[in-house]
Parts: sequence; C-alpha cells; structure tokens
Amino acid sequence: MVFFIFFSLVACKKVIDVNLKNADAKAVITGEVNNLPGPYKVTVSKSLNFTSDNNFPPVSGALVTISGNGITETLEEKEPGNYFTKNLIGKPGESYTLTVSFDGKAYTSTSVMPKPVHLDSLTFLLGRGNDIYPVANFQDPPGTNNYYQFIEFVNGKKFGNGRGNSVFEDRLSDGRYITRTLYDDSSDIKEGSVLKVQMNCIDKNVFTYLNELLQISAEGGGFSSPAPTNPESNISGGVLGYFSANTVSSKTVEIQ
Amino acid sequence: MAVLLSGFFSFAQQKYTISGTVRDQKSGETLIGATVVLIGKVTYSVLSNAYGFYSITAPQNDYFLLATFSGYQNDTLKIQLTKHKVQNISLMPLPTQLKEVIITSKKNDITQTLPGMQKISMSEIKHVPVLFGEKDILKTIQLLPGIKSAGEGSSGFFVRGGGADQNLILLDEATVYNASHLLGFFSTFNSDAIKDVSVYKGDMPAQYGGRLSSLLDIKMNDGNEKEYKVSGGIGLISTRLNVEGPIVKNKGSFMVSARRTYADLFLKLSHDSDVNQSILYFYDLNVKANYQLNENNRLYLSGYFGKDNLGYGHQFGIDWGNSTATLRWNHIFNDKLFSNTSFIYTTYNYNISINQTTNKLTILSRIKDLSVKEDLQYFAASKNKVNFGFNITRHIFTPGNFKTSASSSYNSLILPDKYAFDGAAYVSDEWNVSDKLKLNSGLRVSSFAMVGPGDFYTYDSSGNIKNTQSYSSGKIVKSYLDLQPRLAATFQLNDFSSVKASYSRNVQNLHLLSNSTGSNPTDLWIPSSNNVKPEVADQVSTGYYRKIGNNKFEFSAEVYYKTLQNQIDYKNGALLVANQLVESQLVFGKGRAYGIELYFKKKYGKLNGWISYTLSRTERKIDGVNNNSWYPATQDQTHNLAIVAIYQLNKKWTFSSDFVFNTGNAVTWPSGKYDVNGRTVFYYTERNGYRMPANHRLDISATLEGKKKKRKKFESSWTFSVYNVYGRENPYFVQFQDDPFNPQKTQAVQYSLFRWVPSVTYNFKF
Repeated sequence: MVFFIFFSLVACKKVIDVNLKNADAKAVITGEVNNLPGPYKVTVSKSLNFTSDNNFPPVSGALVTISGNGITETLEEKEPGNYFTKNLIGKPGESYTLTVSFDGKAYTSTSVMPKPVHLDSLTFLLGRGNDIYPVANFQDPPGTNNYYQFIEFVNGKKFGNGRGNSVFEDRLSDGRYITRTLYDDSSDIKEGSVLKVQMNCIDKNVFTYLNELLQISAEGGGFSSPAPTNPESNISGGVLGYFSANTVSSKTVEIQ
Repeated sequence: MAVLLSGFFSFAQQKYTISGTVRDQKSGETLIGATVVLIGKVTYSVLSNAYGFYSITAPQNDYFLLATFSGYQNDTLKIQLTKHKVQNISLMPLPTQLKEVIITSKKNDITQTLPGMQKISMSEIKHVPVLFGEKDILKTIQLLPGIKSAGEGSSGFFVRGGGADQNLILLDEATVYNASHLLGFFSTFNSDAIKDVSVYKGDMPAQYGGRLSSLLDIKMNDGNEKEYKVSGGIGLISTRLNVEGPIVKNKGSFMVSARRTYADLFLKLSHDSDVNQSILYFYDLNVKANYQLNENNRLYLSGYFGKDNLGYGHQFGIDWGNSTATLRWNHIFNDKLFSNTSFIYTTYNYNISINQTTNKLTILSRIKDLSVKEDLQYFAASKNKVNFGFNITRHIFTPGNFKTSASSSYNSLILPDKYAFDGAAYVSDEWNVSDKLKLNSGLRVSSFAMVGPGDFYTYDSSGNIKNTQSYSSGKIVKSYLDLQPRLAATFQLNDFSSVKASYSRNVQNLHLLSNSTGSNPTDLWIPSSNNVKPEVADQVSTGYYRKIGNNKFEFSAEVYYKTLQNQIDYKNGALLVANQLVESQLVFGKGRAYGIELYFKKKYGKLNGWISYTLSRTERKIDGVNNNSWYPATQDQTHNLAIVAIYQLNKKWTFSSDFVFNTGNAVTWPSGKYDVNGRTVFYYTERNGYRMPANHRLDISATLEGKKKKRKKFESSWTFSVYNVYGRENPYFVQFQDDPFNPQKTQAVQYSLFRWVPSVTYNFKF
C-alpha cells in the first residue's frame, strides 16, 4: 500500500494502442439465489473482442432451471439474456443447482447457501483528503469457515463498473469481532450521501471466484500482482461466470 | 649414456616456490586477481587469490618477476630462485587522471579460464551514471551482456533467463538475501566500501554453489593500513561517509562506511498530516577490521547492517534489512598451501506494524543462517592449482509471527519455524595443460536436509492435506544429495585470441516465493522439503575472445544453452501469506534458456567504455499453467543493448553516458472481454502471449574534479547527472480498463515511472 502511495506521486500515464488477439466468443453465466424474497436473476451473455463497444450480446432462448429444497423451477426470460424465478424462495443451509442449456450444451453449478451472519453496523473511517471509507462491523461465527462479499451502494446505486466490491474470509480471523474497512474507490462517497453496504455470506467456491476476479480487475491488477488468469468458475462445462447461493444482510447510513 | 644422465639431471632439478601477498603500496589493501608472472626460459603465471596471495613453483634458475594489475604501475624484480622464497609485492596505484595504454607483453596477459565471468572495476562503477546519482554496483552490472534489469529502478536482475532469486550475492562471503533498498531503487552496496566485484554467469567455480544462475562476489575494502583517510559524498537523496585507517600501522586496519537517505525530509514539506509524519529511509553500515598476527596468519572481522524503513502516518509501518557478520582466518601452511576459515552469521528479516483504531497487528518474518566454511588452495606444481574445501550452514526460517490485539479483526498466528542443514564439499583443479590449453575441472557435492521439529504434510492434487507426519528436533524429514560437476576449457588460438567451452550443473535449495511481477521485501524464502525438490540447472556455453589493437580493445562472443528443472510457479489465486500449508499452493515444471552475448570494450584512452548486446530466449513449461505448454518467462527480453561511454576531457572534467534498449517483457494481456454484474472483465487465453512496448533511455553525467591544492590532502568533486535525458515514458506496467470518458469502450493505459531525473552529488576525500 505504501508503495502505491509513493508510486502515485511520481507515475505518468497515457493510453496506448495495443494489438490484441480476438478470441472466439465465450459464454458467460452469472446467477444468484439469496434469502431475500425473489425473484432471483440469472444472466447469460457472450464475450466480445477488446475493441468492440461494451454491448455484451445476450443469449436468448436458453433453458435455465434452478433446483433446491426438492423443487425445480424453470426461469422465465423477461428481458433478453436475463432469466427470472417466480416462486423460489432461498433458504440458508440448502443446496441449489443451476442448469443452463443452449446451443446443444449444458452447464451446471451447485452452491450451498451458508447460515446467515448479521451485519451489526456501519461506521466510517476518514482517509486522506476527503476520502470516506465505510467500515462493516460484525461477529464472525467461530468454528466454521466463513466467506463474505461486500457490495456498496451510494444513493441507491451501485458504483460504476463493478467498483465497491470486495471479499473477505475468516481464515486468519475465525471467531473474532470483525471491523472491516472497505478500502475501495470511495470517490463517490461524500457528505450527504446515503450509503448502503450489503454483506453476503457466500460459499467457498464463490469466494474463490470473486477473489480471483478482483485480483485481475483494474484496481487490483497491474504492477505487484500475479500474472492474470481467468477466475475459476464454479460452473462446469468451460463457461465464464459464477453461480452463488448466498445470504444477504445490509445496513444503510446517511453520511453527515 | 650422456643423454640418460642429462635426462636424470633435468628430472631431478630442484623446484622451489616463490610466494607472497600482492598489495597496494599506498594503502596496504590486498589486490585480488593481480597477475604475477615469473619470466625465464619458461614463463609461469598465476593470479593472486581473494586475499592477494600467490604462489609459483619453478625450477631453480634466474627469473624476472613481473606483477601487473589494472590501475597500477607494473613492478619488475630480478629473482634468483635458489630456495623457497617469500616475496611480497607492492604495486603503486596510477594517478586516476592518467589512463594510458599499458603495454604488457602479450604472452603475460592471462585470460580467465571461465567463460561467462566478468569483472567490473570500481572506477567504472564510479563513472557510470545511475538513477538518483547514486553509484550502484547492481545497476552497473545490468549493463553487461546476459544480465537484465528486473525493471525500471530495480536492483533485481536476471542472468541468462534465470529468476531474480537465482543469483548468489556474497558480500565478503556472507549471503545477502535482499540486495535492494526502497523496493529496488537502490542496492545495499555502498561502492565506497567495495574493493572488487566479479560476476559469474552460471559457470561458477566449484567452491561456490546454492543458486542456479549467477554468482555476484563482492569483496569489501580492508581499510588503509598506513594512514587515516576520510571520504564521502552528499547528494540529493543520500549521504555517505567512509573512514578507514590503521589499527597498528602496517599490521592491521579498519574501515567503517555508512550511508543514509533522507528522502523522507521531502515528505515533511507536505501539508497532509499523514504524509508529513511518514518515514521513508534506509541506511547501510559496512564495518571491517583486520589484523596480521604474523607472517602466516591474518584475521578479518567484517559486518554489514542495513535497514529500510517505510511508514505511512501512524497507521502503517514496515522495516526490513539484512545483517551479516563474518570472522575469517587466513592461514598460510607453507608456500604452497593457503587456507581460509570463515564463520558467518547472516540474518534477513522484516517487520510490519499496522496501527489502525480498528486493527492492530504486527508481523515478523526472518531467516537466520549460521555457517562454517573452510577453503584451501594448493598451488601444486607450476601448472596446477587445486582448490578444495567444505562448508556447512544451518538455516532457521521464521515464516511469519502475527501478533494482534484483542480488538483486532485477526487472530494471532505463529507459523512454526523451519530448520535445514545445507552442506557441500568440493574439489577443483586449474590445470595449465600446455602453453595453449587450460582446463578447469571441479566437482561440488551438496547435501541439503530439512529437519524437525515440526509437522510435515503431503498434499493431494487439489491442495488438500493427504498425510501429516511429526518429526522431533533434528530428525531428518527429507534430504537431497546432488553432484554438481563444473568443467571449463580455454584454448589459446594465438597471442590475442582464444576460445572457451564449459559445462556446469548448479543446484538451488532455497526458493523465493514471489507471487508478483515486482519483487517485495515480504517475499518468502522456503527451503527444499518433502514437497519441494531442489532446482537444478545445466548450462553449456562456448565463446570466442579476442584482444584488438595491442590490448586496447577487447571483443567476446558467447553462446549458452541452459535447462532448468523443478521450477516453481503458483496455483491460480495462490495464498502465500500467513499460510502454514504454503507448499500446497505451488506447481512445478521446467525451463530452458539460450542466447548469444556480444561484448566490445575499449579499455584505455581518453574515451573508453563498452557495448554489450544480448539476443536470447527464456521459456517455462509448468504443470497446470498455459495448458501445460511452453510459454516465454516474464523476464524474456529478445534484444538487450547497452552502450556505455566515459570520456575524460581533461584533469578536471569527465563525462559519461549510457544508453540502454531492450525488448519489453513477456506479459499476459487479454484477448477479449465480458460482463459480470456490471463489471467489464478481461478474458485471457494464454500466459505471457504478448510483449510490453520496448524500453530505452539515455543517461548522462559529468564529474568536475576540484582543484587539488599542493601538499594538502583534501580532494573534492561534483557529479551532475540526468537520468532519462530525453524523458521517454518507459512502460512500468499496462492496465486495462473502461475508458473513463467513454464507458462503452475499453482501453489500455501505460504507467511510467521516471522521466528526466536530475541529481547533484558533492564528493570529498582527505
């Protein structure tokens, strides 16, 4: 972190032209089932070449099902590429299986929804200049491996381009009362903003995926990072993306 | 009958040995690698060893003894070799302003047998312009062929495609684990304290081992034995001071050399309270003392203490450093047998403290080594020199002690210490087969054992524990025995050119786990174990060497091919920090590297310098990476060019410049993109399938010598330098992101570090 500060004092940057290869389009599946009332969404899309505009083509007409707790439900495509549940209610401790079929291929994933952990409160840490960082406070259950995902919302909206996302695991913190500062691009957080932090309890495979995803992202990547590789998806069949069954606990605070 | 008698006579002709120590006449410093030649009907020549000792055995006769060393006047003595003789030699240093062509008889100029070995003189290091104006050994050797920089400003280096941890760096025989300060912008070597620097690019003598790719052997000054001397310099970034003098005149001397930066003074100018309370400094302290007990015994005690300290406000602090202490005893058994016994203690550690209101945490990690070394040199016959000896090191690794407060979000964790014994025995022979052919052969036998106490694990393919076994203290968990042959031959084609060929095997039992493209002081060293096998490198090389224009110019071309086994890489998302099961995160494979190195040097005259060019390739094939196929290693740089020029205009002004150009590193860039929850994610197909843009820059410097007052000892000079004169934005890394002005598009952004960095240093000596 200190190196980053030193570095930001002296670095110059400029946009450069790079001649990147164009890989074949890959399928991308993302989906989540949680313990809030539904509907839950699964998105199926395709990848693009680097030089294309960011209009990621949706995959329509796929057969998308989620089964859990003895019930299997087929999701309805309400928008292109976005498939929604109708009746399914997620329950902690249950195992959920997603199946997506299209173009003659089937992809499956199973995720077990962990027991919920309650986000007690949201406090703040003042950083350099006008930086305000939210701090999540909660009790990590001792004796189990717990994995967490944090998503920040300012004035009801997610940060742009996937910022405001982080993950945490209790490998070194089992049973502790956690005060987790969310060091992320906080330029959107100002006095008077309404900040919401959502804490999801996720399973191990989803943590692995999201952790690797963050490592290769613009904030985490660059110098002083391992060589990037595609994050290990928990969906079988050679597809990008992930499927998560997680619990949700949020807190909202207005910053004075 | 007469023929038989005369045959007997010459067979029985008595041989005597002349031996002694070669020193600098003004300071008493021993001279390493000085050429000593006995000229008669037949000529015998030898180089003085690391302690200035030489020995020549020749038939009873009259001879001329000629001693030469770069930067010194030749010395010639008439010798009547009628009995064993001790002849110490003192050479007068040439005034630094005069750089005339030294005419040596072509026969007397010995070429080093080992290909891939290069020496840099301290005066060259003093004149090559470097970032921030600090004279720097590690940055200067990066201008030699086959040696590549690990990155802008970095002291890390790669030799012939090897990793940054595959270089054995020795300071007066003690291993230096982390040779860089401030994340690589400065090296830990204060050139004021250094006498000799030699680089071996893989073909090291059997006396050395433990790293695959190179040996950087650095010897400190002993200290002026005759008079007290103070020298130093004050620069923009750091200050250095060197004090040396006799303990007992002509019998013992000491040297103390210190250096400290004050980059953090600039931070105090900031209005930001976090920044102006931040600290950013490093210091080095080199101390050495030696005492000549009698003609045949000399004791040395040397030490190095260096530390870096970075802190951000009160919240975060990290310090790291090396300490080494060496006690050595030179003993001359007789005029043919020289011995050096060393006791060495080395430690490298880092401490991190995090002090936020919500989190208090301290982390400590350390390596401690204790070694005993015995090196013997037997100057057998006039044509043979045998080196033999052994060394044993006990390593203690403290991978991480994490201490937290009760309110911290983290549990305290003490990773168990690991213990290992590292030993080697070697024998090698330098044989002047004939006037034209010289053979170096050697064998190093190394044994490495990981010992208890502790729990040791084996893992399945998913990285889960398969088996745990406990070992009591001292019990061997796993041991490795390796044979490392070293062979080299030099054939003198004629008076001015030669060819060399060599083969060597090197084994490495200490591995640096560094899961990033840059190197961090917090990278973890682990020993070979039941899960991690020793790394092995086999290298063959051959070269052609030529002296041009009466030894004014030197040219060499070398070709090498190296295979590497048991190379380490990391699983996807590997957890290397605070992980007792860190070995489960590793994947293994092999590597290969090959290339051609060209070197042209002008050694004397007002203008001197060198051009070095390397064309090379280095690749890896690791299980589980890149679909198990070969890919270029990150440090693969196809072309690497360096041009160094030093011009001495007159007694006052010396100008120097260097120009470097290299192809970019191999790098993993995306071949597509996709969306996950509103975030643009980049899609990767292969490892290191792309190249960073090329890197090039020009640095210049000018030294102004102050007026030297007659009969006054005070000398001073100013050095002005500019790093990156034409301000090229050399790529440090490239990041991919959505265009902030047009989120529909993605772009590549290149970050560069340094453009136009000027510096001024004032140097003094008295």
